[in-house]
Amino acid sequence: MTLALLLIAIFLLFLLRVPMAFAILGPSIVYLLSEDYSLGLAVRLVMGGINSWPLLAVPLFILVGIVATRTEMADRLYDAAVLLLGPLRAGLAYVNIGVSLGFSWMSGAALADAAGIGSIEVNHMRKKGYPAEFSVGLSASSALISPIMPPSIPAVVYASVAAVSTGALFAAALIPAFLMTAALVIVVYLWARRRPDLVGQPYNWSAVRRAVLRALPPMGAPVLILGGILGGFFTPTEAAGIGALYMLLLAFSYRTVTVHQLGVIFRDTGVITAQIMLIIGASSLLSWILAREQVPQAVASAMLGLTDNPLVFLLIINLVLVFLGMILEPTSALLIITPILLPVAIEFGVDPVQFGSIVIFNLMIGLLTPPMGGVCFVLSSVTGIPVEKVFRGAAFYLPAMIIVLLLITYVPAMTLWLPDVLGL
Amino acid sequence: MDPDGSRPSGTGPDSVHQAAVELVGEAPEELVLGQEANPELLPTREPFRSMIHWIGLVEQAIGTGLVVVILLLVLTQVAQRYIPGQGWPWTGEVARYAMVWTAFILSGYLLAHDRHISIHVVDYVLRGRAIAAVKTLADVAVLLTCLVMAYATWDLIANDIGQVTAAAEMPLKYVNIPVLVGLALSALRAGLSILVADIPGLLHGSEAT
Repeated sequence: MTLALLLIAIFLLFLLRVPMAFAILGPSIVYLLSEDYSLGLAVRLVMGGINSWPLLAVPLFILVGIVATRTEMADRLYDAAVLLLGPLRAGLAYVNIGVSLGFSWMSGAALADAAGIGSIEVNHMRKKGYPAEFSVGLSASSALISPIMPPSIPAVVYASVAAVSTGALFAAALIPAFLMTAALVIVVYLWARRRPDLVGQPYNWSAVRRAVLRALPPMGAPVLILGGILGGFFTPTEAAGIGALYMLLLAFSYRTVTVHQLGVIFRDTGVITAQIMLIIGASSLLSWILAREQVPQAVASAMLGLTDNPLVFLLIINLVLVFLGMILEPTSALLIITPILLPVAIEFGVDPVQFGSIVIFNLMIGLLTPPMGGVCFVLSSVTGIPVEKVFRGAAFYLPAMIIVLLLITYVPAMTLWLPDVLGL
Repeated sequence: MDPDGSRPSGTGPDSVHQAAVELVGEAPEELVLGQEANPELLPTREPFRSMIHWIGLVEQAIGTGLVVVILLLVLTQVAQRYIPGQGWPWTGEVARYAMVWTAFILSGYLLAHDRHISIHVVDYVLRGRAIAAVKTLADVAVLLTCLVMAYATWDLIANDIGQVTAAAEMPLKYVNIPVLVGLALSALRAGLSILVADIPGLLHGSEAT
């Protein structure tokens, strides 16, 4: 079986709604058999891909996110955002961004944000007269803050594949995540200027003060996690464990979590972990095949033959990544392309940490674009808004995202300054 | 005051939440443990229906337990830094294997609840027997992959030469058993899906799927 056939088979199986892990595994096994390798190698490579200490941070960060979104902490954060930002003109749009920003400190996955709090925000906005496309587009776009802002699950996965420091990647992602938030705020502000009907309301300052105080304990989790990692007290995996323990203790202290709910929280953590890990395992097998076929070397020599200008290289990389993000699920795309493109990027003098931020940002944009835009499909499913409307709504925010992408691509300080200052 | 007189009304957490609810409205509810997301994928006849339901419950229970184990072992690893003595170097290794087992043990549950990450674009394009045919192809691909992987894992277990893991010294053949079980259960779910949902879908159109 040739490499081209293998990749075509994988893509066809993706389109035929075969679960991604099996769509990668099936043709890869056929490849191994055609090359006279033992099938045991496939099992060992898949297990070896999952069996990693840095990746242990993934289930624990998922646990932190689930505890944050399914217990009273969600109400506390949401209430604070509503009371603080809701009274502004077009306030619910700012609430949408603010809540996504708040949860992004605890949850590292866009789909979880979109399916949970994102759908609630869309319903609230529509009830208050916001256009469906604008509301759902904003929820889809703001959901992308989660996988970019640390603790980011794609960052943990990239760090594991690229053998770079997870702490450095977390630090590198802070400025891009805030830039993205600012870009969305600016888009909403400009839109709201043309909507005089969405008037502001008077503030209930007493409620605002109490709501903010109530939201402070949950916000202690990101302080503990990021402070622990960036301060050098914990590894990211240990920080994720400490963060999960803190959130569970907090949830118990509020006396609102039942044993049954706790079971659901741990079960769903396992379910999401299994979803991600099976793709990681399958992609490890595919990465081994790509390395055996010397694909990274071939791509590097093709790219160097095309241009020796790093700026042109980065432009090409962005176009390729946005395209791949449009047709592949981010985790599998990240796992497949990082071993291929990272050595090329290093040849062009791009720092692996900056490259990681560029890759993650690009692939997340793919969650908003047809044909595969995962966040749009999730939001369509949970809100009942037709998916083409969701795509149109998300497209409204894409120019702002692309400006941020170009900034992090062509201004290395946007991603490298903070890790340098922190000595990571 | 509150009914129990513990705090003045309008100043407690409930009043804060009420103020926010007045601005936006209430949020929806969550799902529960043991609930079947796709009961139509269960066999219609007893005792098979109950058997598959119970397998799902056991998968969930083991997956849930493994996540708890991962959390406890990572916390133990952190604690060892601050506790004098040699510590337990096996905690990290067992936590890593627990993550591998979680992935495989819950794979069948993911199939049964259509929770594996997959691209459903085709659902928006095709209807009736065409979508039933695609679902059948997808399930056949999963079934074959799981069977081959399960065979390969069985082969590793059967031909084990007594290797053990580095830190915990767990025999590798035992480490591979949950992987084999997970793959076998996934094959079972894929096979059931073909028999219970896909074939009726092919025969009767989209209503059966």
